[in-house]
Amino acid sequence: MGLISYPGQDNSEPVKTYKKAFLVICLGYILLLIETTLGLSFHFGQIRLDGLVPLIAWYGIQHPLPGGILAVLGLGILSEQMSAMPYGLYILAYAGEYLMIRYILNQIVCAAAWQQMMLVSFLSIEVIAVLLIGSGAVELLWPWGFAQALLNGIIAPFWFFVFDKTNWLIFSQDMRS
Amino acid sequence: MTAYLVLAVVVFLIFVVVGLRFGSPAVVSPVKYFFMDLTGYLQKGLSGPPRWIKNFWRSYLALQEVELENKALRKEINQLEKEIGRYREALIANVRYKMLLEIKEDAGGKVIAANVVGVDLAPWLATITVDKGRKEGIKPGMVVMSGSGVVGQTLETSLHFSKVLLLSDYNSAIAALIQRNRARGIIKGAGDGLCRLAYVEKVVDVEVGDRIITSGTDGISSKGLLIGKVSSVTRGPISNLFQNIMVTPAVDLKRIEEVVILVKNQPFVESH
Repeated sequence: MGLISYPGQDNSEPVKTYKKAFLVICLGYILLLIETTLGLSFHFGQIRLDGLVPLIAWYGIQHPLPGGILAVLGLGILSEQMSAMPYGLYILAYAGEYLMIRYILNQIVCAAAWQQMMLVSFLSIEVIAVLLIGSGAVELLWPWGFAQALLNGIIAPFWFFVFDKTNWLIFSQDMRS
Repeated sequence: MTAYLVLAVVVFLIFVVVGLRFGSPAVVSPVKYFFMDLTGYLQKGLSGPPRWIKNFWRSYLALQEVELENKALRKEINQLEKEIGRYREALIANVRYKMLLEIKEDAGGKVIAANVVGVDLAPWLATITVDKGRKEGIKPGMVVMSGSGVVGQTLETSLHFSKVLLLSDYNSAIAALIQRNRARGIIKGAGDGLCRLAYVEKVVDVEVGDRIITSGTDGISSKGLLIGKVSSVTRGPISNLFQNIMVTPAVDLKRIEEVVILVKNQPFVESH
């Protein structure tokens, strides 16, 4: 508890929405840099510690389509630059994750850690399936793909906490005013 | 209604981005390579501190062993002085051999050393980013080596950075032969730092420990570069035409820090 991610919490102010979209792209870029530079230190077999899927889940819970999807597309394009994955797969996988979370938004509660774990694990399956099938490595879906989804879920509360704090640090001034 | 409109725009955007990259790569290439350079510099900056810490720790550990080594080395010096006389003769011969080797190297093109600054975002794809690019004459399709063997080939290059497709990547394929019996095959990536030698018939005698070298018939590499050693051989069911041969690369592909790129004039793979 104590986290500030709630379903249906949409920010209707356009300026703040685009500011947040920019923040998410910046956060995502930092995560991508860390994951690709120190990547091998965080690899376990065919899985790794990933912050991108939790970031999109966290962002998707709070931001509706008009402004929201642009940041997700930006993250997809950035991810493609740092991988030899076939073109379009990251965009497709992340857009799918975002749209899925917007679709099920009214049916989920995501305040407790275990709920965040469940949600991110579920969304990870979609992202990983798209990436593995699209890159022709479908045989890795079991067990590595599911292990990656599980790991993403386990570390999701940590990432949600980090994103909440970062969000609060940057936007607390705006909230007061 | 707005949501459907936005969705339609998003789908359109995805098609435009993907379509441009497949259909007209020249349109997006400058942006892509600019971004690749920018990211490369940031990755290079980020990869520095962990390397310094590692080197500092190694230096500290090394100091502990220096004292013991000093004593042992003094004994060795006496023995080595005797051997110096014999090696002097060998050295003269070596100078001649080296001159011949340099001629051979000149004919094969230059070699460029590079540091690894990043790895692929997807853990099942084995590509790395190195800090040398088009400015140094590197083009896609050049052989990359490290220490004792082949590491892979360059995939795409920006002005200052290049992506290297490692031998262990599922999309990697290099023509190879078994050094002992000259049987030919294709080295394919098997993921997790390993490779397999494909298309070797069951009648061919393959043993664990056999050295695998490049055959030079693929237009990528020159002949005779060490790839690795056979780690296991299974013949499988009778319906299989070929043996299942696993190869451990000569270089630990998961721990590469520096590489050398063999620069040649004609690129084998066109950049996107």
